[in-house]
This record gives sequence, C-alpha cells and structure tokens, in this order.
Amino acid sequence: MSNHQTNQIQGPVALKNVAAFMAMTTRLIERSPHLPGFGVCHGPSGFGKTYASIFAQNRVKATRIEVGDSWTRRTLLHRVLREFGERPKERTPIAELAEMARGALGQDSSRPLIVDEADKLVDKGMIEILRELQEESGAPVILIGEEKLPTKLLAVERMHNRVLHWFSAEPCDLDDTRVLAGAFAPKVEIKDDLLDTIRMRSGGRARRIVVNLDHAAVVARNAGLKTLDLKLWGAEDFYTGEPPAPRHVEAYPRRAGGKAVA
Amino acid sequence: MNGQSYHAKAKTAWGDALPDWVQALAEEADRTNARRVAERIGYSNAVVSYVIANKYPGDVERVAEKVRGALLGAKVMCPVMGEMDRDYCLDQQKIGDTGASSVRARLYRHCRGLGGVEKCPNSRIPEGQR
Repeated sequence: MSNHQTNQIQGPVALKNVAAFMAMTTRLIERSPHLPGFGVCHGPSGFGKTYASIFAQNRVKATRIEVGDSWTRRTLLHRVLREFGERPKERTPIAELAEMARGALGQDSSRPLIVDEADKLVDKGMIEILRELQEESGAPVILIGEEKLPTKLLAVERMHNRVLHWFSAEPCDLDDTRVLAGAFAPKVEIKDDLLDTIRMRSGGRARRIVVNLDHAAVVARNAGLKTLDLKLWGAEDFYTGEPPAPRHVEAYPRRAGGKAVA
Repeated sequence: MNGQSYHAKAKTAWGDALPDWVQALAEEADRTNARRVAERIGYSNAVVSYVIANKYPGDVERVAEKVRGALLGAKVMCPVMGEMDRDYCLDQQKIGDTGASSVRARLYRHCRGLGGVEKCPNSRIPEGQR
C-alpha cells in the first residue's frame, strides 16, 4: 500500500460542482408540492459528479444507491429498502416491495433518493419504477449519469417533463484545480502555469487532475523541492487517460535466432 | 404528562447532575412533544421518558450521542463523507453492508476497520462485530 501522502483529505473537496449540486438538491427539497421532483446531474466520467453527490448526501441525509449492471427490479427495490434498515423477505412480490419502498421514502419526504449510474436503469427499461416511487412518495429523486443521460431520458415519454432541474457537471477551472492541489498535494506549492497545464492535459476532469497532482507531489519530494512550476516539471509525463499505444510485438523475432514474422 | 413539564421531571430525576443533553432533550420534548423528539433521535418515545426519568436500562451513552448530534449540533469527521452530524454517523454505523452503493461499502469498512482500513475513531461498534 502506498500511503506516501498521508491521507489528510477527508470527504469531498469543495469544488464548484459540489456547490451547484448542493444548490440543486436544496431546490428539489424546497420545491412547491405541485412541481415535479426529479433532478438530473449529467457529465462525462471523472468530472466529480459522484463526489459532489456524496457531499450533498451527507448534508441532507439522503439515501443513496448505485445501480449495478446485474440489477433487476427486485434488486433495486431490495437495496433501497435495506438502506432504510428494512429486511424484506427474498420472496416478497415486486409490487409489495415497491409499496414498501414508497412507504419508506415517503416517511420523510425531505430526504432525497440519489441514484448513481442512472443510465443503466434507462438502458434496462427500469426507470419507470423510479418514476412511480418519486410520484407516490413525494420525495425528491436525483439521477446521476453520463453525458448522454438527458437524451436517454427524453426517449421515455413520461420521464422528461418530470425533471425539475437539469444540472450539467462542469470541467474544473483553475480555481478548482488550486483547491484540489491544496487538498491532495498540500506539501508542495504548485505554480499556476503548471496547474493550468495539468488542468488542460487532464481535460478538466477532477479524477485525472488528482492523479497528476499526486505525481507532482512525488516529483517534488524526490527532487527535494518546495515549489514546482512548468519549467521544473520538465519532461515528466502528464496523466491524460490515454491508453498506451500498441507496440507491434509481432515485428520482433519470437525466438533467439529465429526469423522475424511478417 | 400529569401537569409536569419534561424539564421539571428531568430536574427532579437527575438532580444537580442533570447533563446538558438530557436538558436539551427535555426542553425539546416540552417545545414539541415526546413523540416528535423521539423520532428526531431515532428512538421510541418510551426511551425519551425513561431517559428523562433517569431510568433507561439500555446504552445511555448512545442516546446521549444521538441527542448531541440531533439537538446540540455535535459533528464528527467521517473518513468517507467528511464533516457529519454525530447522530447521522451513528445511524450509518448501524446499517450493515447493504450492497446499495460503493459509498455504503466504504462506510461499512471504515466503521468496522475491515479490509486493511483503520477503524474510525468515531465508531461505537464493538471489536469483531459486523
């Protein structure tokens, strides 16, 4: 286990997406009763959607599920119920599970249900079950998914006009990158020129920025530096998420003395 | 409640040793009612009466922590979610591994010190209990 960077970060870091997610959550909770109760957060992977939602989850004591690839309607309802501390029997009919889940969610309709990886529900044709749960319990439901989630939802006629708030996660800007650097590489001062290059090469994705910042901390420590800028960074590689290029190993001889295979 | 306020009852039962959290609990019960305050701390109203009467046979310290979190704004630093209300923290500890999300799995491990993570100092789960 590489624990070189003493884990001093506890919980989500306050980026702009975190604030915006919180604003959406508050708006959903405080909506008038006649308004629809769905919120949708979408954006490419690594933008920090999940971390933003964890922050909000903690603040408003929301229930959270992350849709698994193998999930059926039954698993979905079971997981929701177990998050409420209930232990439904294995053979309970789905309709009854839905009824129980509706009751659990409706107990305190200021506590939203956060559904991560929600595109999987649309793909499996299971989104309707959430629509029912939301409408009948009155509790807000926040769907989190990849960039195409809104388009996918539009295809479900009954869904798309029930969304009160669409929130697209934004890539990190320089301010956000500074905040991340403060949290994940606190021992080294990273100058803006390097921070901005890291941000660009990371495509603004918080996840990649954090990997690069961690690397920066290692570079600085190995060189005994307190500050780091683009010049000192030199020819170090940036983590861009690009996979390594293919190496055409077939061009090399397989055995010593053997011929190269064309 | 035979005419007496919860606060007066608590004073009689606890005497000079009335802890701040019992006082807060009794005052909140007077302001709303025993059922509402019980709901807020996640116990039955019987427990609220027992605690105010200084006769609760169960884990009094846990009730105290729940009251401090729910009514006195006590916070803890959760290794997974960051700054968290103490009562919510205790609720999270009670929930087992539901398989509902990766966050749940991480909370489960940190509350119990499983899978190579250090057990969270805020955990009230006895050693070895799942």
